[in-house]
Parts: sequence; C-alpha cells; structure tokens
Amino acid sequence: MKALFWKEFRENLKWAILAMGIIIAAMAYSLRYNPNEFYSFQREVWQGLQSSQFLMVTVFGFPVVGLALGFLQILTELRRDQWAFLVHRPVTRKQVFWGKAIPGGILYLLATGIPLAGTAWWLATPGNMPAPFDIRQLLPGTVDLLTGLCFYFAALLSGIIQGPWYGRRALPLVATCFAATCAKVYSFPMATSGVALVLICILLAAAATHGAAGIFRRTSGIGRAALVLTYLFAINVLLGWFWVGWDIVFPGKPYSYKDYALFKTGEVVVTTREANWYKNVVTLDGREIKPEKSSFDWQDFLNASYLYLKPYTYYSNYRETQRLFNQIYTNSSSPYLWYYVRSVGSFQAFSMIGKSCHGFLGPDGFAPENDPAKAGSFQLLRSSYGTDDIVATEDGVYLPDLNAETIKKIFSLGPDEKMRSATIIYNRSNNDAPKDYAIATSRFIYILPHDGPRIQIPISVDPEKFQGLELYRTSEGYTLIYSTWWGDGKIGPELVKVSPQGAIVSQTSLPQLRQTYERTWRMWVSDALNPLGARLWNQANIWAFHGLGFSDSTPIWTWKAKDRNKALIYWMVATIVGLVCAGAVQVPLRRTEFKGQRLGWTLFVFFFSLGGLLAFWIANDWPRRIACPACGRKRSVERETCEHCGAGWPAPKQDGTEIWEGLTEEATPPAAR
Amino acid sequence: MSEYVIETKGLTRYFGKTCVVSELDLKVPKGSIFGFLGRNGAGKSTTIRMLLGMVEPTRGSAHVLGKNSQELSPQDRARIGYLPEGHHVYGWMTVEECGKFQASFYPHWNHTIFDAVLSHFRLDRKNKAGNLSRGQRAGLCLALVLAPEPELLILDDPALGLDPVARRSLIQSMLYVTRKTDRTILFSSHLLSDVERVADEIAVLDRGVLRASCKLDTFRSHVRQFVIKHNGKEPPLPDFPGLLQTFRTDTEISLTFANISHDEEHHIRSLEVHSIEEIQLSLEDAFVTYVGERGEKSFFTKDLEGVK
Repeated sequence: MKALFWKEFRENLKWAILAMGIIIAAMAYSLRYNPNEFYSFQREVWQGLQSSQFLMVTVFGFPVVGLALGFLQILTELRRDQWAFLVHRPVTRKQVFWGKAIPGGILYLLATGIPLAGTAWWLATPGNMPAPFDIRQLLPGTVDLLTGLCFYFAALLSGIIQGPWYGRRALPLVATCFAATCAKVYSFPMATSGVALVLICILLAAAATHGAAGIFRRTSGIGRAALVLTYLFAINVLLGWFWVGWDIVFPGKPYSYKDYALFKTGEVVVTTREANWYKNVVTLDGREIKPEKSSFDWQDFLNASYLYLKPYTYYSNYRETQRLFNQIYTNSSSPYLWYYVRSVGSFQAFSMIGKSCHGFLGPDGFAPENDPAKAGSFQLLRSSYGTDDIVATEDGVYLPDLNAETIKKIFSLGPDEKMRSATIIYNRSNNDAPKDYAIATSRFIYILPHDGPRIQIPISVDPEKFQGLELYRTSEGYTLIYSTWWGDGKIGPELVKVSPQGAIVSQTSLPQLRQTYERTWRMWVSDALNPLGARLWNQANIWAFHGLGFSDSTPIWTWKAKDRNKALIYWMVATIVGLVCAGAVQVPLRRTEFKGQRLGWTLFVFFFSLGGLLAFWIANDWPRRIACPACGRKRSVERETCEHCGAGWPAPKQDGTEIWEGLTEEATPPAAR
Repeated sequence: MSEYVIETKGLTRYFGKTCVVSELDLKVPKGSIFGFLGRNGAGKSTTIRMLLGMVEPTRGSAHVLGKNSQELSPQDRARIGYLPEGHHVYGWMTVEECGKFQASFYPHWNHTIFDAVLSHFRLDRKNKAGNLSRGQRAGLCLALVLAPEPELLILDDPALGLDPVARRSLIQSMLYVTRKTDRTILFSSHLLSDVERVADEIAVLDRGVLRASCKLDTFRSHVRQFVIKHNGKEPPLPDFPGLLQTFRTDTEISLTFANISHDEEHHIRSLEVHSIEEIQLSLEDAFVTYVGERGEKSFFTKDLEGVK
C-alpha cells in the first residue's frame, strides 16, 4: 500500500499544486478590495467567505478540482494493458482502490482546503478586510469542499464501471449534482447531511465497484445498495432537468396571486397579480376598479408597514452572513463601514482606508476599538437586521445615528410586554420628512409620530393566531390588516380601522383569499412520480430536524402541516404507482439470476416506483440473448444450458483440419474426447 | 496439483453480440513453454485476460495454478508473472524506482535476476523509463516480471514492435531464467520464428475457436503440401475434408492438407500426372496456410492475355 501511496502522490502532486494555485488566484480575485466600489450593491466583498463571488469559486472550483483529480488518476491508467499492469500484482483490488483514493483525497483536500483555510486566516487577521470575521463563515466553503469530494469519488466510480459513457458511467457524475443541490439548502444540518449521504453512497459504491472489477453482480451487497442509490440520485437530477427543460419549452400560465391592499383612496381592495402585474382590483363589495392609466402600478396603492406579532422565525441561510453580522448601508461619505455583529451585540465600525476596527456603538453609546464593553450590548430582533433607521431589541427600541456615533432609546417596554418588532411608517409624499415609527409588542401596537404624542392601539386579535399585520396610514387614521402568513390557512385576515387617536373604530373579519394556483397536468405528473420512498425520507427529515429543535425547519414544518390534506392524495397516488411498478418488476425477477434478491428488489421498486424501476434496469447486467441452436428460442449466452429446452451449447464446428496431439488419423475436438 | 498449470473448459467470451472466444478447452502442461498463436483479433489477448481474472468469461471456466481465474488471491498473483502487450511502465519513474516499486509488492524478489536482465539490456538505472527505447522498455518489463521468480509466466505478445535484435535478447533472457527451473511460460505471438525457437507446444486460435493444440513438430508434420505437375490437362481431384488450400497454375496444382490420412496420400500419389512432389513447409508457411484464407486460388497465364 505504501508503494501505491507513493506512486499516486508522485504522479498527481503536480496537478494538485496547479489546482491549488488556480484556486488561490480565483479566491484572491474574488476578495479583491477597492474602496471606490465598496458601496456598490454588486460588491459583497465584505461578506468574505460568504460573498457570492467567493462562493462561486468554492461551488464551481472545488467540484472541478475533484473531477479533474479523479479522472487524472483513473483515466490515465485505464488503457487496458496499463490497467492490467497495475492490477496484476499481489494486492487486492480494494487495496488498489484505496491506494488511489486515499492519496487522491488528501491531494484534493490540499488543493482546496489549504486555500480555503488560508483565506479564512487572512480575513481573520485585522487590517486586511474592513469587515468583521466569524469562524462560522467557513461552513459554506466546508460543505462545498465535501461536495467536491463527491465529484472526486464519482470520477473514480464512473471510470471503473462497465458500460457506455453516455449511460451507466455518466450517472455517478450526474448524482453529484444532487449533492451540489443539497449544499444549497438553507439549513446547515440539512445541507451537510444531504451531501454526506451522497458522499457515503458514492464512496461505498466506488470502493465496492473497484473491488468487483466494475461488474455489478460481483459487487458486495452494501456496494450494490450504494450504487443503486447513486443511480437513484442521478435519476432524480435528470428528472429535475427534464421538468426544467419542459417548463422552458412549454411555459405554463403565470402564477396568479390575490392579496388585500389599500387603494390610494383608503378603500380596502382585493388585488390579483400575475407575473408582478396587477391583473385586476376589486373592492370588498365586488366592484372592479379600472386603472386611470393603461394599468395599475404601485403608486395606486398605499404603502404598508409590516409588523410581526410572533417572534420572527423566518429562515436564515447558513450560506449568508445574515445570521452572524450584517452591513448597515449608511449611504454617506463616512470613512467608516458599519455592521451589526450578533456575537458582539453592537454596531461595529471599520475604517475603509486602514481596514481596521474603529469602534462600537451599543445601547450605552460609542466605545473605541480597544474597549467594546463600554458600548454595552443588545440583541436585535431579526426583523431589525440590516437597518439603522430603527432597531428593536428585547428590551426596547433604539434610534442609532451611525454617522454621528450616537444612539437614542425611543421606546421602553411596559409591564408584561414583550417586544415583537418595529418599523418606519412610510411617508410617500416626502421621503426626507421627519419619520414616524410603529412598534409592535405582545399587547399593543404603538405609533410614534414625529410631532405628537405616542398612540397606543390594543391588539384586538389573538396574537397567537396571527403572524403579523400590515399598517397603513390613511386620511381617516390608521388601517390594520392582521394576517396569518405562514399559519394554517384556516383563519382569514382581520381588518381593523383605528382613529388618529388610537381608538378602534371598526373590526371586520375578511374572507380568506383562495389563491388561483392553477395546477397543470405537468405538476400532477411530477407529483405523482414523486415516489413513496422520497416522501417518507422527506417526512423523516422534517420530523428529525424539527425533533432536534432546529428552528430553521419551522417554515417547512408549518407549510407541510397546511398542505396535509392535499398531501394525503399524493401519498395514495404514490402508493398505487409503487404497487404497479413492484408488479412490473416481477417479470424480470423471475429469472434465476435474481434468486434470493426478489424481495429486496420488489421493496426497492415499490418505494421508489419509476425511478426505482429505472435504477434496477440500469444497475443490473443484462446478458445478451441469442437464438438457441436446438430450439430456436432466445437464450442467455451466460447459461450453460438453454432455459427452455435444456440443451447445452454445441462444440465449435469441425472441418477436419483440426490438429490435436496424438491423433493422426482423425481430428477429434477436445470437447468430444 | 494437476500436471496442467492452466486448464480451461468451455471458456467463452462475448463482446456484445460478437463471440470472441468460443468454447475454448485448453491445457498447458507444467514446465512447458507454450506458444499461443493466432492472427490479430483471434482472441489471444482476451483469453489471457480471462486467465488472469481481468475479464470475466461469459461462460465456462479457467483454472490457473489450480485456482479459479476469477478468484485469484494476491498470493496466487504473486506466483504468476504477467507481461502485458505494449510493455507498460510508469514513464516518470527511473529504472531503479520501477524496480523498487515493483519489489515492494512481492514477498520474494530476486535482485540478481533483476540486475542480470537490466545488464543484458544495458539499462542505466538512473534513466527515466519514459526515455527508454522500445526494446529497452521491453527488457525492463521482463526484468520486473522475472525478478519475483513466478511459477507461471504469461507474456502477451512480448516481442510486439521490437526489432530482431531486441526480440532475440528478450527470448534469450526468458529462456535463461526459465530453463533453469521448472517454470511454465505461456506466450502469445504471431511471430513464428520466435515460437519455433522456444516453444514446446502450441495452440492455434482462429476467430475465437481452438483449431490446434499440439507439439510444435506435430503441427508441422500435420500440415503437408503436395505439388502436382501435369501437362496442362488437370487430373480429377478428390474432395478430401482436410484440404486447406488449392493453388492452380497452368501446369501445376499445389494442395495443402491438414491431417491427411495414409489412404488419402496414397490416392494423391496414384494420380496419373507428370510428377507429384511433397514440399517441406516451414512453421511460418504451415501457420500462414493453416490460419490464412482457405479455398481455391489460381494463377493462369491465359488470364494475363488481356493485360498490357
């Protein structure tokens, strides 16, 4: 094994170094810093390891390095006799595989991991980037690193599998796209477990297939299961591509969405939007409003300010910096860049020129860089991320002025109150006018006008049942529309009209709007093809992650709960399709070569229906069938006797010119001796 | 153990619909140098790969050193030396590194043999294998195969692409090392002069079917050619089953037979013609006739009358 390791290292080190150089160059380019374009929205360089440019390198670069190293290791030796020279020596085939895979894996990790770790170290060193650094920013790159490893092992696997390049051999490479898709899931545990699952399958399949010289029936049970699952992932990806292509060629009707809004006159209306265009606007009593111009636009409606009544649990993507820190767009000529940093609990300023920390702004005011504790700390509610206009914290609401490096507390919680959210009330006519603010607590909605006393509106709905509200300022006071958003969909919105002094004038329950979400036959088919196994796996995932207390899974959890009744139909359809497929697979399973495997294959095809059937067909070796010389019916070339008539294969035809030792008078074939 | 180191029974291999090796029954005696002959595409390399477990037979079985060829353990492989077609080595390794690399896999490695073969081919140990000439590379490969002192040596067309001097060196080394001990060599070739020089027994594969398996002399004695000279009036020829080829000119008929019986020979000799003469065929002529195009050929001067 040592000799094999040495050979692989010697052979491929140069390629790994070359790949490392390219990756380092690409990473350096992605993190190039230019103060003049720093405020441009296209530039996200402050996000460091999580900037889209940097992640472009890890998302595409790492898989390319993995594929290239894998193919370089396997394809250069796959020429028949060179492969024989490698394999025919006193080692097992598995040792040959690990002799390639371990050094190759290490070289891949060197080529990609060192640049990633080096970049993290560089960003963590003060003075290099005018932005905070958190070690958890390494997570997306690390998941991409694992994804790249999937590509590496897929290359080793597709190199050894026997079959055409356009078919069986290409599928492991396609399966890696499943891992790449998993890596993009917003939840880190979900993303990691998805990528790890694909990685384990491809690795086991590669090891077992190398051990069996690429022949499926000689592969171990675990290896076969891993290979079939790999094919299943690939089929899933292919099906996804197929539907995407279908939707491009045959686009369906644009999605139509109904919503309540306030017309510019202050009247509550129902808007129907299609592809971001207002299709029609109807008042609550059914009267259609015609647009004054050719069509409606946003100026025809009053702007809503959104307030949350429940703790804001909307997901945060592990690939984005939002859960760690966020840049505050100050839009000024200030020489400092401001961030809210969760782990510190305050706003942090970085010099654009020196790229070092300038100081902190917390609830207790500004503190210099060397004394962050002086600024104090507060945890912003998630709804306040990314803004410095007004920030809601657990204990009140603050108005920071980042340019002046000052902060003012404008609201403190009353007894038995819990903070929910705070926002600006938009003034459409004058953006530069002094601002009014709205605050939601567990008991009241507060309005803080810039020129008058605070208005207190009691929450007149069950706050446990409503997710939040839209607040509008009208000429007659305020209009509030409470809605469920992510709720169970059983409760319609509540319309509450409030006087300018905060007294509730009226409260009406609005009917729940039915979204005209037209399901095309393509959607029905793709839902029906979603097999039982995938549904179970999905459900198990949601249960597991919800059970483990990952709050990130909450949206999925509630969404699924809402669709439970509709989902029941799909479950039944999936069961029926599974049963039909399980019945169909019994035809090939009658062959003797599947003896002892029937139950396993039947269950597999039942749970994975058409995809399972396809994977079964792709994975197995199907021997050529030719006409039996005795009975004329098709028989397998691999069997010694005909499965129909029991005849053996005839000896090759003799023409009397055969020469066998010791037989001079008569040529007798060895088979007849 | 059996007296045969290689035994195949009904060994068959299909590639798609094409049967490249058909019902091969082959026995290679222990201690023999066995020439495995056939034209390009006859199925020699496929058979060798099946013997080494590199290719799975479609049906039938092959036993090598008493073991099923598809279940050869690392220990079994250590007893079998294999020189693949094309003389592959890792070009970036030096000759010395090639030796060290190969030696690390084998429990037994005879440095004397390795050194001797390198010296015979005048190989510089510090030379990179990629810079060696084809003949030198063949020598290096042979050294790598011979040094573990395998019981069975399988050489797939070892002389392919080598000049006569390199070929002679290769065969000399092979004989030098193997003749001292009771080793078996199976080598495939279509260079009959090499086979003639070293082989005890041969097997001839023709389009995947075994046509002959015998000692070299037996093969030569069974392929016979008679030249019948006549005065322009061709005698009636009987239709013998062993007739490989007939070649006619204006006054001559050349008949090549395999397995001609005494009665058939007597019949030919009793033909009323000007003369009947048997030509002694070299192994190469015998082989070319045996595996070449069968049937009738002619060369008449009357056919040239219209040609300027």
